[in-house]
This record gives sequence, C-alpha cells and structure tokens, in this order.
Amino acid sequence: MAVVDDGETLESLLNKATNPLNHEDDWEFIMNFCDRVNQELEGVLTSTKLIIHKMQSPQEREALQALVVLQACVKNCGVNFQKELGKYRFLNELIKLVSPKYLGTKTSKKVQDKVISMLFTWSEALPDQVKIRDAYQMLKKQGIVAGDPPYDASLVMDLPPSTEDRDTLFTDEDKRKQLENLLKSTRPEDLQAANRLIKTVVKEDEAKMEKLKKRSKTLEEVSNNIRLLNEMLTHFNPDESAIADMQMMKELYEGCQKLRPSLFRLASDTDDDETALMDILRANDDVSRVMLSYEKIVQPKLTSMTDRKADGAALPDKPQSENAQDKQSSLFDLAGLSLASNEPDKPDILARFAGKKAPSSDIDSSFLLNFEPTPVTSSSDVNSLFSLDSFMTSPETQDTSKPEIPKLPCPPQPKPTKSMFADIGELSRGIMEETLGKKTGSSFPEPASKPTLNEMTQKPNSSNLLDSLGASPAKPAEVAISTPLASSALTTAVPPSVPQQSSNQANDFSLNEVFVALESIRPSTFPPLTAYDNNGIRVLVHFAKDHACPSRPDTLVSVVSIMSTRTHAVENVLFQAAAPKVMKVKLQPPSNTQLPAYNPIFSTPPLTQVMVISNPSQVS
Amino acid sequence: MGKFFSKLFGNKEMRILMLGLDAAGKTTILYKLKLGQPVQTIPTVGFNVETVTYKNTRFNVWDVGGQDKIRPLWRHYYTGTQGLIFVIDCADRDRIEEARTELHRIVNDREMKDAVILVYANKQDLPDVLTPTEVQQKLELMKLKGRNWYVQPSCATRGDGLQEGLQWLVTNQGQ
Repeated sequence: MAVVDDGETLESLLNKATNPLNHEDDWEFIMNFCDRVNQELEGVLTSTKLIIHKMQSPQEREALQALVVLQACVKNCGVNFQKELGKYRFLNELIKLVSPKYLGTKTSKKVQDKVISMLFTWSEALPDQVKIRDAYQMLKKQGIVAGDPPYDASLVMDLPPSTEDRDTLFTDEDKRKQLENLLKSTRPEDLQAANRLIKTVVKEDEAKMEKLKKRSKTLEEVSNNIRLLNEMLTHFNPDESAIADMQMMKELYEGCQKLRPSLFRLASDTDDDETALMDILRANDDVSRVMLSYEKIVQPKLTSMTDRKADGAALPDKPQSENAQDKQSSLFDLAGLSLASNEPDKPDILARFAGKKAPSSDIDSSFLLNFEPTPVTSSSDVNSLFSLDSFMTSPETQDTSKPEIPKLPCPPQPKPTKSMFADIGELSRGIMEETLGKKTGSSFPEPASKPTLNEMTQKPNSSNLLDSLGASPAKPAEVAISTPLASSALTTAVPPSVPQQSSNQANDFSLNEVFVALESIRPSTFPPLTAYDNNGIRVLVHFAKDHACPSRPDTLVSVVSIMSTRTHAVENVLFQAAAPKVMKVKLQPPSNTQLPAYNPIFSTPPLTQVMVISNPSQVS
Repeated sequence: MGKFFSKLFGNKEMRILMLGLDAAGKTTILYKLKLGQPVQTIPTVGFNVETVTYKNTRFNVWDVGGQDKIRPLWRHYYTGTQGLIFVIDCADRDRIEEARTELHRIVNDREMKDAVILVYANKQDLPDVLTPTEVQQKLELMKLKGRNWYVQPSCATRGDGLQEGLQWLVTNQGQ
C-alpha cells in the first residue's frame, strides 16, 4: 500500500490511534501506523518505544488502544516486529504493567487482563519467541498470574502462517507445489509418488543433518584441542614444566595437525552456509595460532631435550641431497652416464645395469658393428653402451620407463628429409666414435635430437625396424635383434655435441642454460608455501607467474626467501632442494649467505634465491 | 449412480485425518482398524491412507507421520478433512504440552474449522498413564469454543476403544 507522505509521523499517527477521545478503535490510523512501521528504516524500534509509552499511560482508554495497536503490529509488521516483541527490553515493559513492584498497583484491571491474555496467547502462538513464554511462566511462578487466561484466538487469527517458516524440509518452492498437487490427487499412484517425494526429501535432509553434526563435532573437537593446548601453553614454564606435560602438549599439537585436513574438507563441503564457513575458517585460524605458539614455546625446548646436540641455528638436513639423486638416477641420467662411461669413477652403476642385460655380448658387438665399419677395440665400452640398451628394453623396467622419458627441446633438425631410423645408424656411429675416443673421419651429423622414446615406443614394429635398418649400409638382417627402443634411447638421450661432459653436468644439463633474473619474476596469486618454520628460521617458497622462463615452458620458477627472527646472526646459510626423479631442480646463487640477528625495528630483507624446477613429463 | 445407491442405502463417506506426535500409535490404530490385528510398525515418514468401513460409513483415513521434522507437512492434508483423529501417547507425560501446542495449531487452521475432533487417549494398557480426563485438561480442550470434540480412551494393540471412537465420529459427523 502506497502511503502518501502526509506529514504524519509514527508519533502523530499513534497519538491519533490512541486518542482517549476515540469512541472505538480507529482502524484507519492503526493500519496507517503499521504501514509506516514497515516503511521506515527504524520503524520497528521507534514504534515499540512509542507503544511502550502509550500502553503505560495512566489513562485506561489510551493504554487499551495502545495494546490494540500492538496487536495489529504483531500481525502486520512481520517477523522483525515479533522479534522485537520477543526481547526482554519490550517484555519487561509489559511485565511492569502487571507486576505490583512497578505499575501493577496503578494499572487498571482491564489493561492487566489484556496484557496477561496477550502474553499467554503469544507464548503459544509465537513459539519462536521463547522469551515470551519465559516471561509468562515467570509471572505464573510469581503468582501474578493465577491461571491461564482464555486463549485469545483473535490475536492469532491473522498471524502470518508460521507453519510456512517451520517447514525446513520443503524449502524448494517447486517441490512444495509438486507435493501439494500430488496430495490433492485421488489416484493411488500420485499418492505413492507423494510418499516417495516426502521420503526422498526427508532422506536428503537427514544427510544434511548428518553433515551438520559432523561439522559441529569436528569444530567442537578443534576448539577443545585449542583450549586445552592454549591453557597448557599459558602455564608453560620451560624450566619447570614436566616432560609429561610437554608430551601431552605434543599430542595435542599433533591432534591439531590431524584436524586441519578435516577442517579443510569441511570448508570445501560448506558452500551453502556462510556463517558455518566463517566458523570453520575461524577455527582454522585458531588452530594455526595455537600451533604456531606451540612451535615457538614448546617445540624448541622439546627438541633440545631429545637431541642435546641440536643447534637451533642449523637448517635441518633435507631428506634428499642432490648426491642421493645422482645415485638413484633416472633413465635419463643414465643415458648421460653411459655417455661418459669412459670415466673411471662410474663403473659401478654401469656394472649394475650390465648385470641385467639379456642378450649375449656376441650379438651386442654384431649390432654395433652393424652400424660401425670400424672394428670395436674396447669391449668394455661396448658392453657399457649395450648394458644401457638392455636395461632400457628389459621387460621389468620398460613399463615404468616409458612415462619417465622426458621430452627434450628439439634443436633445429639438420636433415629433416631423412627417415628417422636412417639417422640412427649415423648417429650411433657418432656416439661410438666419441665414446670410444676414435675418429673415423666419417660425416658426423649435427646434434639430432629425434623423436622421444615415447613416440618411438608407439611403433615398435620389428618389420618396420628391419625396413629402416635396411636403409643403413652393410647389415645382415639377423642382426636386427636389438629393439628399436634401445637404439632410439640412444638417439634421444645423447646430445652428441656434449659427449665428454662430466656426469654431473650431464645430469642437470636440462636446466644449466636456464637463468632467471630475480627482477624479471612476477609473483603469482598462488599463496607462498612455508617450506620450513622452526627455531626462528622461516623459509617461504613464492611461486612466479606462469612461465617466468618463456623459453622453457616446462619449468616452474619460484623464489625462496629465508628469514630469521633469531637473536643471533646465522652464517653460511645453504638451502638445498631435492626433487623427484622425473624432475630437475636448479638453484641459482643466493642473494646472501648470512642472516643477521633479528632486529624488530630495523628489519633486514630476507635472503632470496631463485629456484627453477623442470617438470618435463608434467608429473603432478 | 454410485452416489445414488450410497444415498439409498445410507452409505456415507468421511475423510479422516489422523495426527499426533511421533510414536503415539497412529499407524497401529489404522491397521488395527483395517485388518483387525496388531501389526509391527516403523516410524512413518510420509503417510498411510486406508479405507475403513464401519457400519454404513466408509472412512478414508489418512495416517500422517508425526516426527517433529515432518509435522509442517500436516497442513497439506487439511483440505476436505471432516474429522480429525488426534492420538495421544498417554504414557508420555513429558510431551503432553507439545501435543497440546500441535493440536491447537491444527484446529485453529482455517481449513480445519469444520472438522470434528476425536482424541484417542492411547496406550491405556500401560501403567501410570494419563486418564481421559487428564488428557482433556492438559490439551485444554475446553478452550476450543464452538468445536465438537471427544476424548476416547484406547489401546490400539488390543483394539480397545477404537470402534467406539469411530462410532462417535459417525454420530457427530456434520453436526
């Protein structure tokens, strides 16, 4: 209803509606008052104050009319008004009217009866406003209300149907309509459908409730853990506290650690309820905070007790050093190693794989001879080369090796017209020459990095192989025992331009040409990863925006920053990183190797170091 | 034609809505009336509807689940209801107030204003149960001005009082 701005205010309207000179309730003013309450921003609050004033009027007629206005507001001004009615600040004013301690002695019986009847009826009809019921019960207990007054249905008659609000099941309007229609039908199958619909909805609701229960259980567990740990931390005294206490704290801390994933899961499950999400996030923050303070207060103490030698300044040993990586090198590394097989310090590795070789060395040699007219002189070198082949082709390693063979960047192809198997002959000859230290004087193809092993393995057809082998000069057909896998592995793995490189260089050659200037790195939106946070040393890994190294799309560039909040300077800081076999890590020189003592007023910038990770096979 | 014969032989139909808190015994009453023997029941999610013939009257009885969560659905069944059977578990003194609130909520609904109200004060076989008089007081039936109501003590498993309840409905229907 559009109310014209007629200069009336809530106050003036109420004055008219409650005018003691009115012979009967003036509904025009009452309804105008209700409309105005709904219209005004603070309508509910203002109106209740005004009504309180009027209903406590010593003028009986005025007070009674004010109560009528109140009834009308409860019916017409929505849930917000009912909520205000259900607050003690309003209920207390109603109670004052009937309590002999306040206005009870002055208020007329008519007004008092009316108030009690209203309180009683509303306590029944507005079950959501529990305080109305409490207020009424209190009056009963104090003996102010002797017996329940008649239930005044007129007060409830036009109440907005609260059953609608009660229905938490059929909140979906479509489903509600569907149910109503099905229930109106007389056909048995419709009734069955209605039954099914109800059952489904109830089941869904139960699942939802189960989820809620789980959520509140987890949150409760978390808050208990936090509270207990917090309490113990506040009473913690590093010199006096018993080991048992510290152990208990450790357990609580570990409990927190375990609960965090549950919180993450809850948060990702909770997409429809913002307040719940806030609760979860808050709990997560609290957990982080208490864990952090445990780490600061107790953990150093605990570690120093368990390991007296532990020096807080030292960075902990990374589980895998790069050396270790060499030892368990991937196929790819091995190819590099075999290249440098004339280096005396690596025979163990070669010997290890040589043990796996299946074909006899006679065939090995014939295979090699096949491509190489020059007689092979050093049989051990031949073996070492071939041992790699057999390793590559041996059935137990084949499956795993396939996805691990990285794709190399392809340098320009010098002889694109040549078939790939034709190249192999020449290429392997080149390799042979280099590895054996022999110069045959024949034409040496430029680094021809060819199809990867992955591509090659897609056509390991022996007849194909024979055909292609036929393209190379002087070859008895029976020699083609060697599989395409073996020969292709050589072609891919070995860049002939760097044949004499040391094994270490060969090992990370995929990244040794990569250099990323710190200035060129733009941070990504991905949050930094805390790699280490202990004893006042904090190592964060910040990730760069995608492809900070444009020439190498397979790399991930990140900046490692190391901060110290320790009271002493830390010297010779060395950050080491290890990566799975299929990846490569390169650490560029750090900005500094010293961390000065922490000064909260004049803080020094963190030590930074660029770390490039290559993940050619895109293993996640 | 059917209606004609119904009228001729005095057959009547009556739509009955049977409500009450969960575990009051509504489904047991329905099937005891329908089959004449007690059945094992599980909590009703949704509803059961059966036709029960008593004397010349075909009662179309809707037994609707009474769990707290599905009570808001009761109102969907109000339309056309001529008689309300409200079942009370007289052994459950703790929830009689709750039952009262629900009963008043139902009968105050506009769609239910013409329905006659039969209250089965059920489970009378159990010790220390509410008597029919107590039920009448606790439910504040006297406050239902201008309504036709009656409290019938019953024991659904044995069938005590059930027929008498139907008899009251037949007699008081449409008055």
